[in-house]
Amino acid sequence: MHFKPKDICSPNVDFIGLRDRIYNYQLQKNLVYRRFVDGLFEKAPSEPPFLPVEAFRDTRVYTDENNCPELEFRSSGTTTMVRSTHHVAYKANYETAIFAGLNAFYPIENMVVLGCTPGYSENPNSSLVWMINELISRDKSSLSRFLKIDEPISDSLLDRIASSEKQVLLFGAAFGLADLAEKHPTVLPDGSIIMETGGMKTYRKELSREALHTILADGFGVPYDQIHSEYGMTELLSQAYAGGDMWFKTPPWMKVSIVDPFNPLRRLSVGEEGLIAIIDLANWASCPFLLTGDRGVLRADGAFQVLGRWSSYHLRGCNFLLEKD
Amino acid sequence: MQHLDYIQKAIEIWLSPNNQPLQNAISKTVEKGLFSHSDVTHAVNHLRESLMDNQLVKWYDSVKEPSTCNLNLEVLCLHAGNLPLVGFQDLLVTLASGAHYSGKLSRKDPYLIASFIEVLGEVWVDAPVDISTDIMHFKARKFPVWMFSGSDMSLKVLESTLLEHQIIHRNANSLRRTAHFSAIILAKEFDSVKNPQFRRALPDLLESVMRYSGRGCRSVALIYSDVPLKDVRDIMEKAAQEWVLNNKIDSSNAIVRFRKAYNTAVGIPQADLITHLIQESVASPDHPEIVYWLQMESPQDIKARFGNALQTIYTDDAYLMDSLLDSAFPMESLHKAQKPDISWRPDGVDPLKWLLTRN
Repeated sequence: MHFKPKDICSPNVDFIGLRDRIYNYQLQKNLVYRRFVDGLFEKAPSEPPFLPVEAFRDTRVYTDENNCPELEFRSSGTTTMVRSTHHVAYKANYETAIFAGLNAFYPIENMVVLGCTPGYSENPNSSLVWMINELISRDKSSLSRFLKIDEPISDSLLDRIASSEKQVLLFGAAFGLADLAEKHPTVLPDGSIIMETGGMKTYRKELSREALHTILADGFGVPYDQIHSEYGMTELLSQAYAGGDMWFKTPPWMKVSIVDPFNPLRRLSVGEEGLIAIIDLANWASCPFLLTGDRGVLRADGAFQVLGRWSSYHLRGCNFLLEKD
Repeated sequence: MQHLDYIQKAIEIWLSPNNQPLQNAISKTVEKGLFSHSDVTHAVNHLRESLMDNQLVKWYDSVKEPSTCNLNLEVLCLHAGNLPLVGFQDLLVTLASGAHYSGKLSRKDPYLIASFIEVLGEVWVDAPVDISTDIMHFKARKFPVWMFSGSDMSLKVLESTLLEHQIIHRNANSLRRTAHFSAIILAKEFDSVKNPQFRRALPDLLESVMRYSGRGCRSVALIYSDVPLKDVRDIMEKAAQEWVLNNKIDSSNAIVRFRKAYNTAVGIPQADLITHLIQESVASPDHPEIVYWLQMESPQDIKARFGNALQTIYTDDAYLMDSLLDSAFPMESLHKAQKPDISWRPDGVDPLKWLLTRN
């Protein structure tokens, strides 16, 4: 293993130093990334350019060819859709990124994890399900579990969690959580946190994040500011988390930039809207420098907001814009 | 109808060679770098052709119904500025319908339509027209009808601003055009080595992709063909070089450079047209400079996949076009992509007929 998980996923990581070492490694070992950089520059720049995340759909993005990947995750999608695949060289990389990342923001050792992931059973290669499963299997109290589809959270489970004095972390995709909240409303123990992982568009009606959070707060009897969000994707091993204020914060080995959609080599300033670009050092064995298709905005302290998918069509066609026309 | 005579007369004067107001407008537009000389002259020359032989009157006669002249109707037209004279059809149909035209001109295209209004005023002294580049000029007018071309995203913000300032009436009728791009179905090849059919279609294909920098809903984002891109890449790249040279177009483009590097890295076949890139990959129409080369599909399947985002499907296959003439989604000839008839239907709606049926 070229880079050890504990050296990357650490609160004291030397981000710039490690980024530069991994950048050099990528230029040597990742043929796709090397060709991409060579196509853009005569000489590789000091700061790594961001590879479009579609690369995980269009080709194999993997550096450690001497070792077979230990995990393989696939994005969700219809049967006709071309899906992305993330070949993960070392299971330990993902495990460490998950736990150290959550630990940076939550007392995960003192939490009971409830997973609500209907629909994901159709995708056995879901990185989200794998992540929640790991969190559940780590809990020695055996109170953590996946919730059964279309069933309420049982009173006896809630009583046992309350007696354990542990906090609930209810983890799941937006549509599943909203369904549960509306069909089987309940009151979770004090201090519970609902963690939605996005996917508002796949709900039976399209919801804004604010509307979703109101449904969840009402349905689970928790304060609005206890509805949190996770930002992650199949192509990333690390995640960012947002409290009630919708500003996502990253663990120390992950940094977000906002770039110009018309020239992704140009980084935008704090407050400007553009495409979210991510450095996730835990991704060293696939590609840690990724350009997403999400629209976002950055705050001076490095926190960011996700403003939805970059709506691709609107760049084409006649478009009357008040501020420009 | 006297108002149609006025409009026709004004069009003839305005489009006559060396008409001073139009020539001045063209010069200012080009000097200020708003549009290239090539695109402006293309738009003007095309209007000249499409309005010949009383085409506007013929169109009016084909859609008018007994006593359908909206003499007192006030219509607000919001003109986008992504290509020169983009809203000229809306101006013509408003005036032809007998309504009062109020035009919010784009700050990116403020001279060309204004030059027509200047000529119209000389022919038709009390022409019912009113133009401004400032939307607040129309404050508190409470227009009962408004016309717009743009995306769903910008529409919500726009409509709330118009209502907030009482620019439009709360119950106003609106014609909203939200199509974003067009597609081509190329004729089947019978000689897969020489691709003669493709070579014949190439000049029109390049116009449909590269004219107006690919902006406008009539520009092509998707090309469906039974020929692999690699078979025609070289002749396409050579022809594109000539096109760029002849049209004196600025060739630098950051997104083309970026996507080209990405495609090379992941092995996506592509043709570098200098200002545009055609790539053989999953279609995700976004930047006007990126065009997708795709496996042949039926017009119905293409329409089903892209829905209202799709404006028109063109073809160079006369047989295919004829077979769909009376279908719900007729095709157009490829050479008309950037030279539509004056009566072309944005989003499939005839704007003159639509206006004539407003009360």
